[in-house]
Amino acid sequence: MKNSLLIPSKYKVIGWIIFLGFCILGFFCLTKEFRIPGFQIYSLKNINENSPITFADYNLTNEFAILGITIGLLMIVFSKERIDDEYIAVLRLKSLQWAVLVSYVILLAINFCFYGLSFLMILVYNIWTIPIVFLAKFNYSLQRLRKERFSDEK
Amino acid sequence: MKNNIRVQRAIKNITQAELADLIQVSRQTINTIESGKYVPSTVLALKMARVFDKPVEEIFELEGGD
Repeated sequence: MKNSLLIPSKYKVIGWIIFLGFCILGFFCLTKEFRIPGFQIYSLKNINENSPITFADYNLTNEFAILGITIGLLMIVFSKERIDDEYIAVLRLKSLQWAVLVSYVILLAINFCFYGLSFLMILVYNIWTIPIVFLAKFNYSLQRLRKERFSDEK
Repeated sequence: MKNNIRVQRAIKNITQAELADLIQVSRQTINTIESGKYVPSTVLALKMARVFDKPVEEIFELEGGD
């Protein structure tokens, strides 16, 4: 059974590098107000006073961080294992079902715990709940599979 | 579903790892199939039957509740 959505396993390492790199960027962007100089949309209003489009200057560093973290996570999630057989595919599917369920439980818990602007902020982080919970569950399942004792007599 | 892969392996005198290599899956997968935790796909069942040189029905068997 071929799963055409999966990418070769070497992308897992590349995915982790991208994910961690952009996490650092996102962290500095959030806590130290770090902005990449010049990486922004310039307001058209400054160029032409009569322009009907009026959006303010806006730096794209945080958007860039969100993009990088998401692409990195997707690469990790969609890369094959070194030995990828049909049982691994079953584990992958089970972990995904589990992750969707858990992410909605988390969402409902957030719904009653946070209000106003902080609720919206947490919803932004929530875009990564499914891949993160999936990775945790999937790797836990793989770990348990590896540790299983073999009853292997000739 | 019941299976007697362990017996078939003993007849053929091969380990789980050797069987896994022959049908291109991981050793863990063979272990989960043997212990009845996982029901393999038809493709895998047929591959095993070919390795043991037996019809699939002699290796896998339905049980009550299936």
